[in-house]
Amino acid sequence: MKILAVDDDEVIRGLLAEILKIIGFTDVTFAASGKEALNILQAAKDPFECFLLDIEMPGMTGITLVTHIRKMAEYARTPILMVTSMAERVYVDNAFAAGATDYVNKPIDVGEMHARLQLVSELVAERKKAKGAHAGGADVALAPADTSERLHIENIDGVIDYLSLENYLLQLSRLSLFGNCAFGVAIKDSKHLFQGLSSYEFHSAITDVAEALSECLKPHRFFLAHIGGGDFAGISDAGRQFDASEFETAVSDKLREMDLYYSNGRPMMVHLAVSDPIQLDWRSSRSSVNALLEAVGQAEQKTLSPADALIEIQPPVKPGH
Amino acid sequence: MNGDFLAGMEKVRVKFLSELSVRKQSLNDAYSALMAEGADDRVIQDISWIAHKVSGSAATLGFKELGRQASRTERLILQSAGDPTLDDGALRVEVVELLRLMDDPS
Repeated sequence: MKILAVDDDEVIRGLLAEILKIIGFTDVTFAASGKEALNILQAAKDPFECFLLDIEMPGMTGITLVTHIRKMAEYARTPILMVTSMAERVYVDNAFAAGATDYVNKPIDVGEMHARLQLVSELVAERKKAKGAHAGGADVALAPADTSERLHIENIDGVIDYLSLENYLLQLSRLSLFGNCAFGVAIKDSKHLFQGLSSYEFHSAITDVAEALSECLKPHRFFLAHIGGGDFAGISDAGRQFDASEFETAVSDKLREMDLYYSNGRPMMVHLAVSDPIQLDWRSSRSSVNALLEAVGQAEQKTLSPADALIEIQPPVKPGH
Repeated sequence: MNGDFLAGMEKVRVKFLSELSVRKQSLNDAYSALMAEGADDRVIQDISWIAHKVSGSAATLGFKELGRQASRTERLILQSAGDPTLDDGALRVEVVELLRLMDDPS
């Protein structure tokens, strides 16, 4: 995996070099500032596959550097790990909002760094494989959508990838989850709604819904991710003020206002269900991540009509009865 | 841990210790200014920056107490950022302890 590590501190660059070498990552380029990093990116023949960025650097901070990197099309999804001693929530929030994938605290724990980079390396390998499978085929945008895919949605406030959302939650649980809640959103009858759509159409529809959700979650602090199909998982600091039915109504109104259409001109009627909030106050890190999927499960249950719900809970009938 | 790794870390450790003596001198200067002029923004920023640099690498290189003290000093400054009632006394105590550990990081 080709890595670019940026830190203004020569000692940290030396430390990283030794740690990365021992855990098996040898293709590493170092930069001492954001400006130098951008110059290296512009000159690079082969793109980098992972970034390790310090936050507090003179001139350009690591968070500003993330926003510059994310603006480059080839790095829109490249994993970015912040490696920093800035543990306060404001830095964590700003880093993930700018597009960071993960957050590693200094002092650097060799085992933790190994585990995080191993995951990133697997992700990079998976993406390479998927890219290889698409190469040379028909136009990907026009191909039928794989609606189970977790989509990467860009340029909408608070909307990040699911992996980043999980990492954010794990990081937040080290600080305090008090006052935060998890919630799930499910689009009703999404299977039929998205049937036969091309990748482009599916992406557009999900992006529109994400935009409506984002607008209605403000002014609270939140992060939201698409997790496949018509489902979204999120976390908000609205805590006990999070009113699922009020939010559901606001999003429905917003979607009506947005007036969504299929590419053939037919109106797309999107209805959705929002789970009750799951308060994260005293949950452990793992259990708070599980709460995200629990919330989505609840939202999916709410999308079922009463008749569907009955079918869902009926025990299987034994043959002969 | 293999020998190459330990040898590499030792090189980084030597570099850290040589930079630490330079940083200690800068922190001493900032401390003198703190005593003479009180907690003005520039002095506070200097102390925060030095503490930040030390906290980032000290603990990873085995200087756990020094790393903890540097973090504590930096946190105190961050928590009272923009607070005109910043307690100079509390900051002085932390800086003196940080200077002591920079003198004898082991």
